[in-house]
Amino acid sequence: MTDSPERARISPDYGGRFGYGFFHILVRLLGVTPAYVFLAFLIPYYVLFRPKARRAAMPYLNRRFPERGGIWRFFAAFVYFYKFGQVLIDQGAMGILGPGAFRVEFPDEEELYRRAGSGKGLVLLTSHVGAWQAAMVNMRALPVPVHFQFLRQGHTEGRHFFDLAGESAQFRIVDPTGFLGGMVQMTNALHAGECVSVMGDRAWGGRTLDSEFLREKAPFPIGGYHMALSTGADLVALLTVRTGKLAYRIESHYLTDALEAGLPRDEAQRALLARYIEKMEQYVDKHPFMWFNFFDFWAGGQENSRQ
Amino acid sequence: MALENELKEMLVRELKLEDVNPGDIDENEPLFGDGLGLDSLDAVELVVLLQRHYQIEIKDMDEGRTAFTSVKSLADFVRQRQGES
Repeated sequence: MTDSPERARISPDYGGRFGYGFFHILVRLLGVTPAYVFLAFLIPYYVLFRPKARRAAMPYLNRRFPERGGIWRFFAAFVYFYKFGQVLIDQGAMGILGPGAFRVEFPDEEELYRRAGSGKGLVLLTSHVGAWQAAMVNMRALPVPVHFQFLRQGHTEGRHFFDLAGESAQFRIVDPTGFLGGMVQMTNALHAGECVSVMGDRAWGGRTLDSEFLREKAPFPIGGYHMALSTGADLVALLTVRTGKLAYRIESHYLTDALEAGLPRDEAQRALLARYIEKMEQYVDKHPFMWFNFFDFWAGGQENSRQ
Repeated sequence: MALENELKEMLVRELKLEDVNPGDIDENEPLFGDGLGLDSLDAVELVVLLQRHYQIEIKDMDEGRTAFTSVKSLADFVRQRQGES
């Protein structure tokens, strides 16, 4: 395990304030379909003339499609950015059209509500797949507050959702760059039987554990596993899939279920991480253009046997 | 000083601080970052340990920031909260 510094991240430029505003007006006036169409014309510009953006996609595409050649992956970037753009438009539409405009299919919703209300505390492990904000729309009716570890990044991801979330007393935002990454607040929340939400596939400079993902070692954050194991809370991985126009499905995987009792902490963390990676690999196998981590996720630290 | 020593031993034992002798910890040394070198996940353990051993809750981040400065500040915090109960 290592306590790695925040790694340099190549973030694709989503079009800046002007682009964001343009799509905002387009969705407000004409709906999402014209925005998807316009997006199709915009993507070639990004792939052909914004090498920084294209390079940001390649660490994942190279590992997801190792059997394919460079030219194939170059063209795959068009599809990848288009899928990402659709999700960004959907996220914006959530704020503009309201959550009611979305169709969210969540087969295990009742189980999630039962666990959230059990008093044990519940860690929601989200990932950069589909639109995790779509999953959060369903969390507004949870019986306990949800504390999100979330870094606001100007006009980018999640803005509209959290603007919306601000209207609900159920949502509390935890700044990962704040005191001790907000861990004190989140641990207290779990002790109080509430929910916390952390990312399973992006570290905010905290401790990570190296494990193979798509056949190559990558550093995964372990804060969620650590909190669940320390407090006795359940941990559920929530993966969202875009299934169509403003339509998403949420998959839930209870990673702490049937975990062998009495495992040393580091072994228990590794077991939980292995379960998470198994679900993630199954996910990207089925939905190859739906994991949106635009930086070299595999570039990372070295093992440290602390704990 | 008894509480300070108890806390030092608890930190080394429960946080599994290898190569650290409780007696060598300066009670004014920062717990996090430079100093003892604890990190945010150790903070999770500390919050849990304070609850388990002393039935004390860190109410918010401001309280945590004060209490988690050093072993001495942690001991002062425990004494204060125990005195209140």
